[in-house]
Amino acid sequence: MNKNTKALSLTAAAALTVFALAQVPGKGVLAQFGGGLPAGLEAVIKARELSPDDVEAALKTYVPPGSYDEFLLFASGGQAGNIEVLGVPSMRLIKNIAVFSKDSWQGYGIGDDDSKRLFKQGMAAGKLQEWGDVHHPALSLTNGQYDGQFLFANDKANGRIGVVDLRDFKTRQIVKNPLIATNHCGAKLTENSEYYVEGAQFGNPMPFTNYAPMDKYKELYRGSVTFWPFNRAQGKLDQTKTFTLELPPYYQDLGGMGKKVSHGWVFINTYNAEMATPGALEGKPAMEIQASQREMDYMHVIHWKKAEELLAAGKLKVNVISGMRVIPIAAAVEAGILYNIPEPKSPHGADVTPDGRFVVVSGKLDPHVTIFSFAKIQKAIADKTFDGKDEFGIPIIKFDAAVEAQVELGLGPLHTEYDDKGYAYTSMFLDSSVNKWTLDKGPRGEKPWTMVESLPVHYNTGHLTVAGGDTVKPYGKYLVTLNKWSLDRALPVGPLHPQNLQLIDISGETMKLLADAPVVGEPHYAVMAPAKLFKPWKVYPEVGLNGLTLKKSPTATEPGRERIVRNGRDVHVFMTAIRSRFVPDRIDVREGDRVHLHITNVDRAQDATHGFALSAHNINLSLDPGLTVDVDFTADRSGVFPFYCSEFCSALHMEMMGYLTVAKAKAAGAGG
Amino acid sequence: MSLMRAPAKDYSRRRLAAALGVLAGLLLAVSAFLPYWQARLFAPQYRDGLTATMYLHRVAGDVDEIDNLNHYVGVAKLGSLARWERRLALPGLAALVLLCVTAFRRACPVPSGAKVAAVASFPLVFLADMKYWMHQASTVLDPTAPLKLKPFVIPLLGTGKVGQFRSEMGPMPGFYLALAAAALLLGGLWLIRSRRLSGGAGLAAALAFASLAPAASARPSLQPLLDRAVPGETLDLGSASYAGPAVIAKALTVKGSGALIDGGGRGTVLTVSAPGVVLEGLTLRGSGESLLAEDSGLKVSTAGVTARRLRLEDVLFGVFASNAAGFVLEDSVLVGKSLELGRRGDLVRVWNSDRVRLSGNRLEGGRDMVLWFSTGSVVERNEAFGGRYGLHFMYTNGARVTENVFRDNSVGLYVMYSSGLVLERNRFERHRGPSGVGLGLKESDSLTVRDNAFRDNRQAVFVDQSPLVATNRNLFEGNAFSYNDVGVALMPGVRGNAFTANSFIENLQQISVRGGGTLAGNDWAGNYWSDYAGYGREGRGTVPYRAERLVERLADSRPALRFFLYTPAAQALELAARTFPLFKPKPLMTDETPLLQAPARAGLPAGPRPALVLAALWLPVGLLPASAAALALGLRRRRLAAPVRASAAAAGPVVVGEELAKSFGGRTLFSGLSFSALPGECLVLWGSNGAGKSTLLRCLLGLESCTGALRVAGVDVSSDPAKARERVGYLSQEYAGYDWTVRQAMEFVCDVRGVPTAGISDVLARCGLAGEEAKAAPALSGGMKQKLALALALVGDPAILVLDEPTSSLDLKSRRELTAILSLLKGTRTIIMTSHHLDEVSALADRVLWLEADQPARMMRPAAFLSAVSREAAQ
Repeated sequence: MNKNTKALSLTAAAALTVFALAQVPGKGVLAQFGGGLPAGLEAVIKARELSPDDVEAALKTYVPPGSYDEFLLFASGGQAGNIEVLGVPSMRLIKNIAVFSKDSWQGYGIGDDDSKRLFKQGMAAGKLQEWGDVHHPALSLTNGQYDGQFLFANDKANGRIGVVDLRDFKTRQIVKNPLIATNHCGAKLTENSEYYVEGAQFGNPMPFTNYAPMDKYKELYRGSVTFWPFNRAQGKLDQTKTFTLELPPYYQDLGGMGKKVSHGWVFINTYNAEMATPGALEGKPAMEIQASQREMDYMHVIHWKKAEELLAAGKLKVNVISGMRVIPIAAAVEAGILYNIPEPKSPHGADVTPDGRFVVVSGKLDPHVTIFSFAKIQKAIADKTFDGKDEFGIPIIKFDAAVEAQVELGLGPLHTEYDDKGYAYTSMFLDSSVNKWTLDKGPRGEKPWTMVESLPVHYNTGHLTVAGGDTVKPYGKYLVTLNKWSLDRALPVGPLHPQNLQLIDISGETMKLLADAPVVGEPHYAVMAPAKLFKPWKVYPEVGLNGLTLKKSPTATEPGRERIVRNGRDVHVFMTAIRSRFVPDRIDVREGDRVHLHITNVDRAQDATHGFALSAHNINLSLDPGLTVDVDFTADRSGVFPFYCSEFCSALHMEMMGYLTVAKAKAAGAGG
Repeated sequence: MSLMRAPAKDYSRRRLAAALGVLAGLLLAVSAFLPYWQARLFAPQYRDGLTATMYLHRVAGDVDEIDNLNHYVGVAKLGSLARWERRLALPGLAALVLLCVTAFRRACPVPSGAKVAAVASFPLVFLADMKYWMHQASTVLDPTAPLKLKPFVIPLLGTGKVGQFRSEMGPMPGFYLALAAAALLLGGLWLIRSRRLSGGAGLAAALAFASLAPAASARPSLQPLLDRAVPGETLDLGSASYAGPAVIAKALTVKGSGALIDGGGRGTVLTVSAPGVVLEGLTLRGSGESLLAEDSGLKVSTAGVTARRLRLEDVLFGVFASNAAGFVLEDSVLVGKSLELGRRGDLVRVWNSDRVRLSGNRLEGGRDMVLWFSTGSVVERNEAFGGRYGLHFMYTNGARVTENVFRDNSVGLYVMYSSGLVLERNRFERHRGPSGVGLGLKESDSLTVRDNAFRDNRQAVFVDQSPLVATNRNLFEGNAFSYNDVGVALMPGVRGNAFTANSFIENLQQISVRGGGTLAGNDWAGNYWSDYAGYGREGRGTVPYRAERLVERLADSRPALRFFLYTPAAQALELAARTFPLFKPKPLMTDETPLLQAPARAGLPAGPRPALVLAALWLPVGLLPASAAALALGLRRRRLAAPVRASAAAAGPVVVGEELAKSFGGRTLFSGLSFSALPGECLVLWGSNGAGKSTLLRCLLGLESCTGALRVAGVDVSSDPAKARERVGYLSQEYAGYDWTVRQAMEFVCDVRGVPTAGISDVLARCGLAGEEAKAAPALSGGMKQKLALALALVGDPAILVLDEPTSSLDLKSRRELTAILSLLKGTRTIIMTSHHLDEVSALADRVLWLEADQPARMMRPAAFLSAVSREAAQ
């Protein structure tokens, strides 16, 4: 045995040396390319001091000119009110979808009638909201898998939902829940997009536009979850058929949708079970102190399928509040559609495994993720294994009766998704890492419910997303973390830093960090799906479509039929845009006239978009090929106002312009 | 007690024997569910050891990890061994159980003796079979394995060694049960064959069983007593027992000398809701288990409460203090419920309570000790073991944390969103959970971390966004980081920490940056780094210490390489990497003024007792064979540093070795070796491969330690290797490639040695490299490369030249050229070299030191040496 030491050390030395050499640019890794590596590449590697891992990551993320990315990533823009579409693995920004906030590039909210109509649908408390706070984008589902048809976005600030049609990647609907001020939770679709599930966040009186004193918080404030039926044919949420479940005024947080065996159920986290209310100047401790006192918060377990059936049969009591059907807590408890389970405090994720058997809950302040078993929950409900009721009479399922396992991952577990192999990945806010762990079966024979790997990310990661990671059949391959702080990750551009998305390759045995991708706005969550799933139009299928109804616009104008029609003080301009002219290109009106422009882009060529920018009138339109866009305004100031194409369209783009002249009212009166 | 001798009692003897048989069968059956044997494997990188637990029909434990290691050396997977035996084990055991049960039945045709023999031999068969497979596994090695090992043998019982691994093997309860079953049957056999029976034994056994019946106890409730007391009164409960739960709602002093308040497993044992309450010397036991209700041993919801010398046991939460400013908990012991970690409560939770004092408490097996929103608190002299967070601060400013011991928790101390803390003289040991952090900082400012000891943690210190504001600097001073996987791990964006006068001692990675990026804006001046290989004067290194080690980098990206850490291979590779960077690793950090000796530190709390794990065995009383001693499994740590010895005056020989000994993995390379080398002398080390020549040279350089006294130019190598190295030039066996020009390489080594570059041309000329300065080193021929290596060794004009087989890789012509150059150098300095060539010996040697394994070293003149060699060759 003694002789082995030398043998061990020598062979180890040899092995290590070989290993080390394999790491040396020009000697090992690169030699694997057949030894015929261009000297220039070696020089680049040396000059940029790249490690072999850097080189590998670069190759994995590089998409050569003319080639496409494999996946599309839809990342919420947070308080920028939009959704950003990035290609994966290149992490290049491909599109910005304006949802709640104005965007002049897309001519969204900058004068056109369609977005005015959308914004009007989305009025909150009777007031126009020109921005939103998008947290959780969700793709429409068929049989629990992405179908590539629709994208949904919530506006936490105003309790609204936006529906994006993925045929043209445009917002088609904004709905406002009249009951709640804010939404955050749920924010996902049920297995066949039967419902979009919208939970409130901060408690409010029902409806929120009714004042109630703060010291009556427990009595008069409530939480809620609203089920919005989705009419796939129309591509719209149907406000007339919603039902809402009244919930205690805990703060509802993220929710997980049941899948497969647990289809028909949703699981909604809560925090602030303390029901603390602010009062810093009144001598109360800060909200963060008050609302983090208890060891446990509650997860709501909701049997929405049963609620739907009972409602259809007229067997469930509802109160109609602000036109919404609201099921009172007592009725829900009575009907057996609402339960609580204690969960470690301040949870964020409630993430249902692809097979629907488990709900994984991350308490940000508990280093464990807690895994609840759907089967155990069912059994506990059947056996009435309850730990009493909460203050609102909701039965509390015994923690020990519902919990399947707890996995210690480290600090600040936040949100979990799953890959195609059977691993779970949890973002760790405090540890700034992504931790990979096994579910009830280790895919490579590891122990069940055990952490297998941790990868540092930068910094303070919030959500993460795996391609298809919230569906019944994840695609895996890539994981993106949405990090809240970027610190040193990008060149300094002033105190407001970009957010940092990080792309991680999860296809191999160990996770590999591939790229930093600084982005604007504040992505909270993102969804990722194979690009080939989406079949967007390259141009609109016919000319003269209205961008909101996708039907032939009554104001569509054919070439040769352009005209200006005056009807009293209303001036209707039926205009076409084609490379490189507007017809008509001169509009003469008088001060005080109401001008209605109806502009049809009659170009059919792919990418032949025109813009319509009108000086001094806060108007810019995007005239995508085939669209008819309407805009109306009052010409209330005399002067000469050029309009021009704001999207560079041809060699004579600069010439594509015209004038709006507004004559003084008096002079016009005198002249006429 | 009368002995029963009546013949009629034969029947009862047989009945008793039959009962013993049934009991034996029962034991055997139970043993199927228990492990029979256990192997543990320790190495520096697996300090807590890897465990393989052998059941009759399966192997459990860290099988995957062990298989992974074994894969490197070609040992078969554990699961592939003894397949048939494991398959047959359970049916076989069932048959044995049957034999036991029927062993003493008269009607049975098989004689009792045969059955007893079969069962009694079972443990022996098990042992023999295991021995066979162990031997098979370690001697029939996969020839295609990455590492070639000669066949080895691991002892079945006790400690063995393979390479850097130490094995501990021994029996487990299942095996003892099998032994006990054998003993019972032998006892039964003795009963029916002998004429005598001690009735007392049976009676005693019956009494023993009866005494196990639980004593019913009804305790008076404490609450009426509390209700009757008047505010300000002192209640002395003595050592009485009371039933809880109870609430103290007025200012009382409740004392006891071990008085017990038993919550009976319901709710919170004792709740204090009035200021001015003092609790002393009480035992609070048996809270409920509801996390939802936060069931606790002691709940305090008011300011001004003091608790001393409490014992809390079997509690979910221990002490739960909220809105309890000025709360004091002293000299108490808190033991949590034995639940899964995530299911436990915090043994101490302090919430929104300023100026709390936690002092001299011992916390065991709970979850966390938590202070939230509790400014100005003091946490001192506590010990927290086996929980999740030894101590956890959130939004808790200005606390003093001193002289605590945190051990075996997932995390020792995590400081989050807090500022102005002073952490002094604490110990952080063996934090190896998923976070595995001794001390973690998250967005915390203005901390003083002084004179703490961090040992054997996965990451001793983890720093994330701390300080939050770089100008609010955190100071790390005088701490000792030893034997951690990572000394200090930082996120790349971390700025504003100052590390000074700390000792970084043999951490697998001294410094680590988590993820890509450049560490900047932290101050690292004046620390001691055990891997510093530079030279120094006046206690400071002359060249900076840089953390950019090749192996660290490799280990970062390929964790499997940890297998090699601490091996000579890794050390050799690192030396090569440091001297001749193969590729340019990005520096992690630089200490411009590294210390050459670890600074003395202020007193620390007492270290851990030797970690002795006694295999706890349950067996029926009296049936355990006396020889089945408990297994002591201890994890011995590497020696920290050799004691400092006064240097001998530099007179006479320049190199003196006295009674040197070096062993490796249980094998002695040399021992009792004494030799010296005189100024200007050329001493050649001769011997077959593996005789320890190169190791001796490495000891001379202080790159490896050996026992005995070794002085180079009057400097004791073990106490001051850097200083000794200053006087030595070193040329390794083989030139290690680098991509500089000859001149650049020389300048680099000049820089390393802190000498002017003016003499470079001279040195090159002496080494036959005149005019080659601008040549790229990789383009040089083998002989030229070795000349360059010699030139590099001569930088700084060292008095001693150490050459490890300088010509071994050269052709004859180049060898002669180099020998000629060396012969010119001879006389100007002491040369100590190893060689395999007799012509070199005759051309250069003044004396030859002949080393052979298992023989005493021989020092001889060249003539005597050459004739001895030719004599041996002739034999």
